[in-house]
Amino acid sequence: MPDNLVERLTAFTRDVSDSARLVPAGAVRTKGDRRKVQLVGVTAVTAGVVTAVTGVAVTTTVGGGGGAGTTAAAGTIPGELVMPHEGEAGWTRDDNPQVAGVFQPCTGHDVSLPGRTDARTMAGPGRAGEEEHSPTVITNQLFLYGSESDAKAVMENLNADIGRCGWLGGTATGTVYGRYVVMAWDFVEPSPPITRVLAFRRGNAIYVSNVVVSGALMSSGDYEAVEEMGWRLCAVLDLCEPQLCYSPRPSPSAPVEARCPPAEDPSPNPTMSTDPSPVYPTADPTVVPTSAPPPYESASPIPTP
Amino acid sequence: MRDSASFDEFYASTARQAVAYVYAVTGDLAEAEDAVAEAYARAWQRWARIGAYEDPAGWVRRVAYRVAVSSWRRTRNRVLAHRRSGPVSPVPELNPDTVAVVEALRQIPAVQRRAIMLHYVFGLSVQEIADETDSSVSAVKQRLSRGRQALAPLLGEETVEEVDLHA
Repeated sequence: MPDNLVERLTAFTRDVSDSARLVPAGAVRTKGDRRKVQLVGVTAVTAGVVTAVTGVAVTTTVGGGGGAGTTAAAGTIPGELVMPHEGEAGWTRDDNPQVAGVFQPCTGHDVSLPGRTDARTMAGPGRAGEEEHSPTVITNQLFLYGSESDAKAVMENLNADIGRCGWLGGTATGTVYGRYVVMAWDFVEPSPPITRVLAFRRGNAIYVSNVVVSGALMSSGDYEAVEEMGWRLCAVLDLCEPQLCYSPRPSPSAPVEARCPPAEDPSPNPTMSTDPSPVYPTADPTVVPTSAPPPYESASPIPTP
Repeated sequence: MRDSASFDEFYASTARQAVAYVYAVTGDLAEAEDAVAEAYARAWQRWARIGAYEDPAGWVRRVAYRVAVSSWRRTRNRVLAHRRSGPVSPVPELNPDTVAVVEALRQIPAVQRRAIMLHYVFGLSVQEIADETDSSVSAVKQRLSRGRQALAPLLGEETVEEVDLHA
């Protein structure tokens, strides 16, 4: 029947096209512009939250990450690597290594699966104080891959899908979570629910924190868990990375002031001392990286369950 | 620098077809119009980049599809529609054959609907459909073949023998 089907589909398309109630182009542009202003505001809030928690500024840029890193020898996540929120009320743990990735920028396209050797998923509510006005579902996933290049490909694919399927965000460099970070927001409309995602890679491990907020827009993400996982990956899997440390660019109104505390224990980490990456890339001209001692050296070991 | 004139021209020339596509896939015209408006708003946000794409309409189509199939959005819209107490905007009167086609499309899987529309309406090759839907070429061929087989009786057609698909 070539092509009665084609003819009917063509007639269908023509009829729908003629009948479609389109918003004027100017209104569409206004909507897009309004969203852009909102994104700037929320990005600033996000950066503010992280700065308040850690005392380190966050810059978000679009660009690729690179460089060498360490790779966990084990193909499976060891039992002593405790996930943030384990044992907390309302939280559940899933050890399925092939569990679907919670963050799929293009629905149905799970880029987290190829090369994955193990996974842990923790799902639960937001903070007690925020739940009343902003019901939140947090899903945090730790993925381990067979090689660093597998994990790197996952991050690149996430970044590509964010752009391809209309999310806001992308690869972020120069964050407190390390060099290889992807951030995304799904602001379909100014009203919630809103999905906010932060994923970072350390060697062959990727940690994804996916937060869906159904109430007030400004509910915070699960940044503490993200930061905590960075420390635990270093302590348990030896996937370490020197933390970024910034000072403002000198100017008449803003004198230079390093924000990183001095090192308590200057003993170098052998892994990091061989890292050829000289400085952490940043596209934000308002901040300049300063060399800082690796923070993980002085970190308290995590409690063994 | 974003060029509003080129965006408006792009919108005027492609948005209606995008609505037809999303309507064919979701079976809900109001949802399709809403999703398409949202997708173009996002395109405008990045127009300096997306306007330079080889196929910006493909980007919008993909985003509109994702917006439309977002479950929470559909739920939210249903709730809002339920709450509305004022007059509902009139639904445009569609040709009876159009309604029959969309009813038939509703009865086949969504992945087949997408493939059928992209191939027979937008003229995408099997490879291009595979790229747009994140599928393999063989999967797309199968969806097109099975989709046609399934649509034939639903549209009162004879069963198709074999479909010649150019990849």
